[in-house]
Amino acid sequence: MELESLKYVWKRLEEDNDTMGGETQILQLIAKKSENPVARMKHNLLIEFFLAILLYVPLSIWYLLDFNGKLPEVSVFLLLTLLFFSLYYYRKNNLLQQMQDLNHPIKKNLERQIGMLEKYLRFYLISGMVIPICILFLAVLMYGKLPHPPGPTIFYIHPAHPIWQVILIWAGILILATLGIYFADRWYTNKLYLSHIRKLKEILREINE
Amino acid sequence: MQPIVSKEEFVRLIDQHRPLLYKLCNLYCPSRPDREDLLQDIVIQLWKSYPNFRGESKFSTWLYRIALNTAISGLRKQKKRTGAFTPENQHWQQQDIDYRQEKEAQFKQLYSAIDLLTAIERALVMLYLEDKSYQEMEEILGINENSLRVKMNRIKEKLRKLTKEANHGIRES
Repeated sequence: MELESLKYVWKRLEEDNDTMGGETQILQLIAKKSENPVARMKHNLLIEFFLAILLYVPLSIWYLLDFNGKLPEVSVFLLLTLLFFSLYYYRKNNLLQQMQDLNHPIKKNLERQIGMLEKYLRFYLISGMVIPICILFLAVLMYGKLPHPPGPTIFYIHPAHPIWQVILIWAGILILATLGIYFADRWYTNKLYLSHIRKLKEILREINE
Repeated sequence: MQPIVSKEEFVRLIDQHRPLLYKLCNLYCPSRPDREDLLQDIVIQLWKSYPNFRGESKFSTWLYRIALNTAISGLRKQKKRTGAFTPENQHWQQQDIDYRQEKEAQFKQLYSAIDLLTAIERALVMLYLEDKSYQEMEEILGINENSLRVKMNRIKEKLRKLTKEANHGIRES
């Protein structure tokens, strides 16, 4: 088949383009919300951020006012976590915003999309690993504030067992939780985006050939 | 925020380029729901990007960039082009049956050829069929002119070879 012979058919396609109902339909289309996955990711991120505010702010106020005023550190910690989350939201939103900018030639756009998607995933993985550290920090905070359980337990410093055992057990839990979260996040992001990144890389490789 | 004053102008420009968008969606999406989704995506993306259009290139060049970028790099799951090119799934309904059959055969030939191509080859073929110059292709794709010529020759050769093989297969079976 000669490509030239397809030109005639290609031109004839124009005679049949009646699927877009003129200016009214274009106006309807731009009034709609984008179903594009990046737009949905941005929407979900916004919901996530509002949920964090709804959860952390009342919780922080509660820790500040209740418990006879003995746990203001927890309140501060929660607000700091919310601040971290705000930065996390800002960074992710920024990356998604850049991913929506398609004002570039196809090759450059592919390079940008791959780079940003990889950056986005790396950021997601690193942020996920902060969670166990936050939990540990909170545990240390509570440790000093709350009464210890009666009798010796491996989770608390007690004359019945050496201190290194307590440190070891907490470090073990922290490492396991961090690795668990890291691999779970990696599995999840790979499931969602790995094939897409591969597809984009394949197209870019083809362009560069 | 979108500049309100430019909305009418934008709609008018897009309306002028309807055939182009329609053909591009057909090129990348075999099924009707996918085509409609892609069309919606492209129009919304064009509208969002319109404030960044400064007239440094032709409107059509800018439109090709946005539309092709949306089609090629979008995170979209697609169904395969299946079955015959029926009037129902191709929405080309004509009163004259002979005319329709002839057209369907031609469209089938066109899309059978397109199905053999990769995403980037489709973009190249589309620009070629739209009689775009290599310079304009370079502006849209970001691939230099020499590479474009090499790629076009490869595509032509590939189409010749693949359709030859397909015809040979049909005759044998």
